[in-house]
Amino acid sequence: MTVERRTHDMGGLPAGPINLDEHATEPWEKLITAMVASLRGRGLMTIDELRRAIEDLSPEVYEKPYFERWSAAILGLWQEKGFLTRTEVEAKMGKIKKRLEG
Amino acid sequence: MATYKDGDRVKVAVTYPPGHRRVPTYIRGKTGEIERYCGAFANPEELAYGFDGKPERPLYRVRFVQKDVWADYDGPEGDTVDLEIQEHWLSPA
Repeated sequence: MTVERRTHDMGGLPAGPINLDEHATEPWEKLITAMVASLRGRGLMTIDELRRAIEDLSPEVYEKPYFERWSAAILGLWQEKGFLTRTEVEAKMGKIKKRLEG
Repeated sequence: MATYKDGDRVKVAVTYPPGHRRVPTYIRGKTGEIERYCGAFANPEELAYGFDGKPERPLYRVRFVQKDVWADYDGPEGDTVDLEIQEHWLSPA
C-alpha cells in the first residue's frame, strides 16, 4: 500500500535544529489573530475548519511562515463559504496599498 | 460511554482516509496503553468540514513506548510518548 503522507504530517521526519529565537510580532499578525477569534466567536468558522484549510494548502504555501499560512487558509475558507472572493480581497488590498503609498 | 479502561492495550488503525485526520501517520499501527479517559468530544474530523461532529466520541490519552514507535530510537529504555486519540481509531490489542 502506498502511503501518501501529507505535508503537515511531519512527525518523525528529519528536521534539523529548532530556531528558538524570539521575534517581534508584526501588527498584521495581530490582526489575523483577532480575525480568527472574531470568526470563531461569531460561529463563522471552527478551529477544526481552519486546521483543515491549513493542511489543504499546497506544499509551497505550507512552507511559508505561520501567519501567512493562516491568512491563506482563511481566504480559502471565505471563498468556500461564499463570504468573500479572492478577487474582492485583492481589490481591497490594492485600494489600501494605493492609499498608504499616496 | 468509554469502551476502554486505564491500562487496556489498544492498537491504532492502519488506514489512510483522505481529509482532516487527527492521528499522525507515525503512530498508525502502533500498540499502546490507555493512560486515561479524557471525556467525550465532538469529532474534529467532521467539525473540520462544517458538520456538528455528533455523536460525541470517547477520547483517550494513549501511552506508547518510544522503542515501539521508532525502530532506531536510542533514548532511555523507559521513554514514552502520549497521544490523545478518539475511540474510532482504536481496537483491542
